[in-house]
Amino acid sequence: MEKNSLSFLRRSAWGWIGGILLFLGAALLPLLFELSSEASYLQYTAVRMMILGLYAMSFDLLFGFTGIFSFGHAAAFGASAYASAIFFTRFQVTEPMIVILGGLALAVLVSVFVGYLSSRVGSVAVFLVTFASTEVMQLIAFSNPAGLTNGENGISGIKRTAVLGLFSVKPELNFYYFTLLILVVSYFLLRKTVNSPLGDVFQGIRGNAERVRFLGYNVEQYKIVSFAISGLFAGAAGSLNALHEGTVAPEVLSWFLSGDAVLFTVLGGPGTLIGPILGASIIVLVQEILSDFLREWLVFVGMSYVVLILFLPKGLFPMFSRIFQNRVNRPSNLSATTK
Amino acid sequence: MAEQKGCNGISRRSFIKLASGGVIAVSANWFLPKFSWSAGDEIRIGGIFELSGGLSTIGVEQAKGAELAVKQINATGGVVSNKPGALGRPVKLILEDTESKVATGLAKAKKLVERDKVHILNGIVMSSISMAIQEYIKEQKIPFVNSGSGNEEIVHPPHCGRYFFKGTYGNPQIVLAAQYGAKKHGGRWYFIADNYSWGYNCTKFFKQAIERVVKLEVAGEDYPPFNSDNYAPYITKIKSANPDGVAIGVCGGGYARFIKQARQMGLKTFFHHNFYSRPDVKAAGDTSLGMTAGTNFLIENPKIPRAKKFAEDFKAFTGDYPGGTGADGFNSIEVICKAIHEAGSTDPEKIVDALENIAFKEGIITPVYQFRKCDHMATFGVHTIEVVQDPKYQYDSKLIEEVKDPDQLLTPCGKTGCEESMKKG
Repeated sequence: MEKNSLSFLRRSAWGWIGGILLFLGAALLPLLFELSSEASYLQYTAVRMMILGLYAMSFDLLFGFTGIFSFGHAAAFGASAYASAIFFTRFQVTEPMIVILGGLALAVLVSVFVGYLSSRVGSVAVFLVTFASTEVMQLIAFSNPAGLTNGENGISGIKRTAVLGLFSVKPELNFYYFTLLILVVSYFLLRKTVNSPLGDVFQGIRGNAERVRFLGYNVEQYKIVSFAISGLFAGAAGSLNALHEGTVAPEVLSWFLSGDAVLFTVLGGPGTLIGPILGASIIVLVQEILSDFLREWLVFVGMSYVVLILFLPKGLFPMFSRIFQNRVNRPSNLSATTK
Repeated sequence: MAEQKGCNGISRRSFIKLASGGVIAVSANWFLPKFSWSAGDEIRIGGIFELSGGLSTIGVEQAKGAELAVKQINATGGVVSNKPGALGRPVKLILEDTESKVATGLAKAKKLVERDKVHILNGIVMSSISMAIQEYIKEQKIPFVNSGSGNEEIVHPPHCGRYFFKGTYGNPQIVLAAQYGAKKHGGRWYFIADNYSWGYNCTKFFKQAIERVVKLEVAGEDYPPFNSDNYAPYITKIKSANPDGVAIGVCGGGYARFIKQARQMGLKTFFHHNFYSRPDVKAAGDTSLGMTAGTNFLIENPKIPRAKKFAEDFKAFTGDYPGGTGADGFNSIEVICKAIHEAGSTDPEKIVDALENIAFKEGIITPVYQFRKCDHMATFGVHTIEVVQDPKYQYDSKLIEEVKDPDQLLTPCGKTGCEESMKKG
C-alpha cells in the first residue's frame, strides 16, 4: 500500500517535472534557434506547430474525451480566422486581442450551431453533419457574401501589432512567446475542464451515453457544451493562424484541415491533450524534413499513419508515457526510496 | 534483463534510439553551416509550383520547363551567357510544392527565402497563393516572377509592387483570341467559368473582347465550382440556350471534363477556351478537336524557330511535347537568369532594375519579351489557335491568326494605381 502510494506520488511529481521541463524547453528553444542562420524560419515553423497543436488539442476534447467523431473541426478554426481577418481588414481593428476575441465569438457561435445539429443524430451521421456544415461554410467563403470574404483569393494584409499597445507581436520571436503563452493557458484550462465534473460527464458520454442519460444528464446539451468549448480553443488557433500567416483563404474551411485534426490526434494519442500537440508537431516536422528529399512525402506520412494505427492504436504519447513510467517504477528505483 | 525483441529482431528501445538519432541527424541540417562545394557561388532560384492538388496538371508541366531551362543554362550558358551558368556561377533551382494551398504556398515561400536564402522566387499558377506571397515579398524585398497566373488582378493595387513581376499573359490579353470565333460564328455567346476570381475575370474580359468585334448577346453565364466532376446541368442549359459559341474559363481537372462531357452529351456548339493547355487537351482527347483557344506559345512559330528546338528538348527531357505552361516555366527561368546576368549581381535591387529594363529577344515565346514599368506586367504576342490532330504531336495547336494589339484591354500605364508602389525604398 505504502509502496503504491509512493509510486503514485512519484509519478505525479515526475509528471509535473516533465511538464515544467517541457515548458522551459519550449521557452528556451528560440535561443537555440538563434544559433542557426535560419532562426526566423525555425521560429515560424515552431509557431505553426503550436497553432496546429492547439487546434488538435481542441479536437481532443470532442473526440478523445466526449467520443464525438467530428469531421468538420475546421469550421471553428476557419470561422475564427475569417472573423479575425474581417475585423482587421474591413473594420480596421488592429488590436490583436480584439481581433482574437472577435474570432472566438464567431467560432463558438458556429460550434454551438454545428453541435446542436450533431447532438440530434447518431454517431455515423455526426460525421456527415459536421463534414457538410464545414463544406457549406467553405462555399459561403467562396461566394464572397457582401464582399466580406473576397472569394477564392481570400483576405490578405493582416498585420500583427502590439498586444494591448504594450507587447509588439510583429517580430516572429515575440509572436512565438505570445502563441506559447496561449497554448499553455489553453492546455491548463482544458486540463481543468476534463478533470472537473463536467469532464466526467463528457467521458461518461464517450463510454456510454445511454447510461449517462439514465443518470439524469441531458446528453444533447452536454454534447453542445463540448462542441462550444472545443470550438473556443479551435477558434483561438484559427485567429492565431490568421495573425501568423497574414492571410486567410477558403482552405481554412476545407475537409483537409478537418482531417488534419483527426490525424494529429490519433497519431499523438486521443484523450491525452498533450498527445495531439505531439502529433501536430511530428507531422509539421516530418513535412519540413521529408519534403526536402521526397516530393511524395505525403505518401510516406500516409503509410506511416497506417502502420501506427495498426501497431500503436493509442497513439505515440501513451507509448512515450509508458516508457517513462517504466523507467521511474524500476524495482531498483523503488527499493532505493522505500529502504 | 534481455531487451524484448520484435519479430524482426530489433528491440523497441533500439528502434526508438535509431529513429531519434535519425531525426536529430536530419534536423541538424538546420544548425550546421550549409556545405556545398559552391554554396556561396550558386545563384539560387526558389521554384514554387502546384505539383499536387487541383492545378497540378499545369503546375507540373511548368516546373519541368523550369528544370529544363536550368539544366541547359548550367550546361552551356544557353541564351544567357557564353559559358555555363549565369555570371559564371551555377544556377540552382529549389523546387517546392504548394499542394495548391495558400498556407502551404506561403510557408514554402518563407522556407525558400529564410532557410534556403534564394535570390529570387518563381512559379505559381493560383492567384490566391501568388497574392499571399506578394504580400510577404514586399516585406522581405525579394524579387518574384510569377510564371503562371492568368488573373491580372495580381498586378492591381494593393498587390502590385516593386519586387513583383507577372511573367505570363493576363486575361485582358489572352481573351482577345476569342474575337476570331465571334467574327466567324456570331455574337450570341454562353460563358462558363470556374466559380472564383479568375473565372469571373475571364468572363468579364471575354465580353469586352467580343464586344469589340461584334454585337454581343449574352445567351447565359454559369460558374460551376472549381474542379467539378459533373457539368451536366450546365451543359443542358447551354444546349437549350443554343448560343453561337461557348467561351470557357475552366481550368484544372475541369478543363478536360467539361469539354468531354459537353461533347458526349451532344453539344456541338463552337468552343473557345481561354488558354491552350496541352496536358488538358490530351486528357480531353478527340473531343477537344476543333476548339479554339488563346496561347502565347507555338511549337511551329515562323517568327521564333527556337521554339521548335525547345519543344524537341522538352520531349527528350520529359517524354512529351510542351504546352504553353511548360514554355512559360522555361521562359521565366531564362528571363530571370538573363536579368541576373545583365545586373551583374544577385543584389535584389539590381535584379529588379534589370528585369524592369529587360528586352529579351532570344526567348521561345515572343520576339521581344519585356515588362511594363508601370505595373510589371509582361507584354508579348497572343495567338488564336485551333486544336488539331497531328501525326507527330498527337494533338497540336494550329495557328489561325495572331492577335493584333494584344495590350488593347490592359489598364493603360498612368492609370494602374501602382506607380507609387513601384518606387524604390
